[in-house]
Amino acid sequence: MAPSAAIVGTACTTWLTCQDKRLEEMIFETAQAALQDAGIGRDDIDNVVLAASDELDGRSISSMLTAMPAGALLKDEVKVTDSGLHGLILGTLRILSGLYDIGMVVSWSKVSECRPSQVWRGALEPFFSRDVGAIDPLLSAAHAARYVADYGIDVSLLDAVANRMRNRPGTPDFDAAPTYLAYPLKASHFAPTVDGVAAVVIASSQAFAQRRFAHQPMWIRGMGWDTDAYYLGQRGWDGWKSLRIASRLALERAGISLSSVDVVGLEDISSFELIMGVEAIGLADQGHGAEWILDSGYSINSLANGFGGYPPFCAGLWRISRITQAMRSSGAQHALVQGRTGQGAQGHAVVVLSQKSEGGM
Amino acid sequence: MVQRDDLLVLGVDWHVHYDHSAGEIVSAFLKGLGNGVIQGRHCPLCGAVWLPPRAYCERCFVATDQWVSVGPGGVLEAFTIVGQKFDNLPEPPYVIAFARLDGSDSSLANFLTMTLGSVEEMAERLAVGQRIRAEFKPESQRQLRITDFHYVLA
Amino acid sequence: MGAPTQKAAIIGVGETDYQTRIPEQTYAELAQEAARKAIEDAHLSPGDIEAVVYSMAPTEFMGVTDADKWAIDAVFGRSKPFMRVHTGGATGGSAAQAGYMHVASGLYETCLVVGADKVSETPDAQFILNLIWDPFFERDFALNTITMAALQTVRHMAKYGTTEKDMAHVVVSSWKNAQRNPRAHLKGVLTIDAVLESPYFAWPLKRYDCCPRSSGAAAVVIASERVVRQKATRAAWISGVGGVANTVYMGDRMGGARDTDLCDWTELELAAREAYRQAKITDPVKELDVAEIYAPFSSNQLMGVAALGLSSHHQAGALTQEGFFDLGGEVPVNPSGGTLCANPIAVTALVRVCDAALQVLGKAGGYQVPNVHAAVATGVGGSFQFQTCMVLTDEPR
Repeated sequence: MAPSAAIVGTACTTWLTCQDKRLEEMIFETAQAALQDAGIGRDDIDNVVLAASDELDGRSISSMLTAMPAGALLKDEVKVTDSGLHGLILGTLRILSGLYDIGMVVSWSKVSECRPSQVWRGALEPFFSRDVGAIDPLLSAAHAARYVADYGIDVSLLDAVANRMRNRPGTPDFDAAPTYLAYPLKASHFAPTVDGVAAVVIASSQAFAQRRFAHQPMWIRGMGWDTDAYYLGQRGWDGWKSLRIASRLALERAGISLSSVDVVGLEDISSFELIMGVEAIGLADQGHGAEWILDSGYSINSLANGFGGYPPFCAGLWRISRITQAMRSSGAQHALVQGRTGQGAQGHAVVVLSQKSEGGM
Repeated sequence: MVQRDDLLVLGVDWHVHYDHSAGEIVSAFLKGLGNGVIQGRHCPLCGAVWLPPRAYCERCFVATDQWVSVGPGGVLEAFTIVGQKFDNLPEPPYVIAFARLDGSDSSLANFLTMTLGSVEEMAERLAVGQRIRAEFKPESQRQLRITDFHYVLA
Repeated sequence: MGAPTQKAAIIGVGETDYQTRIPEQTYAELAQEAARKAIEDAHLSPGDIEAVVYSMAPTEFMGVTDADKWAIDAVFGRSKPFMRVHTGGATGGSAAQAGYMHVASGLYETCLVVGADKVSETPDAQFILNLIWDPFFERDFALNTITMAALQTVRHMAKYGTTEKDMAHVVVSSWKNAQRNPRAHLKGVLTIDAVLESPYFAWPLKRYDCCPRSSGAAAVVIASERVVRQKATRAAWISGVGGVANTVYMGDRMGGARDTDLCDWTELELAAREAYRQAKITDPVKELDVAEIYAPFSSNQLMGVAALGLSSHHQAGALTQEGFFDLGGEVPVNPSGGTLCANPIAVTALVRVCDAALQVLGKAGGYQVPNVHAAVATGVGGSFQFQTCMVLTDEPR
């Protein structure tokens, strides 16, 4: 019988800027905490999956230095250069293949060490794009401008959504200018970026038969991922198609409908992206995402709010970690979590977590 | 390859600046160099003294617990004599050496300074297992970098 | 851990020619050529590809950090599950294994693994390869891939008595093999003396002991057993995979409290042990018909044959000189010419998989080894710290 996979331990840490530790030390502390959370040691894992960006890390093959603090000494280790959630997906594929039993997935970014805008600029191909310089968040702004025009959106809704997220209890105060970065996006629409690491220990259903873990498993019951065209102009303007595909597939594989999902964790680097996410997964109709966030009564991202400090690149896995921890002691049955990759959210990954394994992958 | 004049090449330079946090362990090690001291980090479980120093033992996956002074004597474990000029790297010939300083369980890279000659002549005078010694720059020239010392044959 | 959830095989292989520069194509177009060839070779159409794994190592050589996301449309990956795998030099081996996991998990019936590199878009390759090291402890010493290999080779010479002449034999044999491979970058008639007399890059490595910097692309189509039975006449079954990572610090792998020795390629030995276990191989010399070993420097091939169990460490040089690993020898190694004759870094390890698959599929043309039932392909990356191993067979195991 095909195995299934579950999260058995996790930890995540964020720092406003972490100057007293080198990147490798941040990774070690988080990976070690995830193993402790699972109640196992490094010897118990048989593989490690990393998700990180060389260019953000300032190390030309970043995993050379970061694989060991993630626990990979003489283990089967692989790295993806896509979101932390893509890393979790590859780790899960390994478990589902029947060839691995217990894996560690780690993702991070230490944006305080570099200037991400310099790195993003390098993402642009040199012939048509780089001279124009439409990097994140400018690319996102171009999409947003088209969005507000197509759907007749009152741009003050972008302020309102950001304020709603920022004013949540427990959200630290960050200075954010209400000036335009690029119309219609203002600096105040963006979550403050922080340094962060997320680590997740996953295990196969067979592993449960053989040993005990410290917590009940949180099953990885469905997953979908999809990446769109490179050029924004070729992606179509009717929302994030890739996320629509990814979330539909993840729910289908999980065998549940969106209405039975209790916890949703979406990308929230900006109010605009959160609105796009809400619409793409189908919580709101196209053009009505902001109203849904403000008026539906559902507290979006309540268990992992990026406006309290958003760690780029690893945000999806960070969200998984926060939500897994919270769900252990809540009555919530199902969670849907998203991560994004590429400039202007070119690609997306979605993972559906459940308290029970029945009916999933 | 035939040069074709219908094909264009676009020249691009790209600069990215990084400020790498050294953290407490690396900072303490580099500051130690200013005082002429080389220190490794001790693992409380396996007892190994690791260089470069790190906050954790990769093998036992626990935090290291204390500093141990090592050297200045040691054993040459590997070396190479560079004979080729690489862009943005030093003028050849020079020797890159890995030496295990007395009291440590792993080898640390540094330049090895010796009388220059042809690559073959220099190779003749070096061997794995040979004794070496870490030699510091005068105090006024130290920059709290790994290059504050180098190796010489003992 | 036993058999995979779903068996999988390589049914299509696509490669471009490898050369220093390819000014006729942009990076994305180059990747597309390999993708198209692999899909055609599998007798599929792009619409049949359900998922894509992109093989891309450091992007600094070709200069676009989102290289994979730029190439996505060209490699027919748009609006599909897509991820980029990057493990340094081992990238292509890791990517092939990630592609295998897509199918072996039972979630996908087909997966395209594709990548490309244009290493010569920058003249600063070895400078960039200095930036892979620890910024505080190791970058200052002009470490790069050549000096790193030289340090390792010195240990191999001291430990096993390996000579520069043993290494020269590897080069001469590789260049000779490459003459039969139309895609190889370097090839031709080299003599032992010419290798020995070439200038030292970093003692004991000389010019001809080192691989070139190449541009080019490679791809494979991996399919489920169901698709193989429907569409393919021959298949290279992925019967075993393994991967092992070790510390970046080469100094941890010399003397003292070491678990492994830098010059023993223990990482590959452990990765091969797992791949052989899955493929039920117990006597590699008898059961493997060909090996494609990622050996970017001549001495690496001596370490590789020992790690794969094709020789002892001490005998690797002598067996090489006797022709044991030549075309027509007991176990031909790198009949394609190997990495010494083409090194498009992002896909070099995938090229090893391609060449091993071609041997099993009987499509290797001029460098075909007769009657191949089992082949092994390896990949190495980082400070020789990442090793991957894949066993391909003509029947599922």
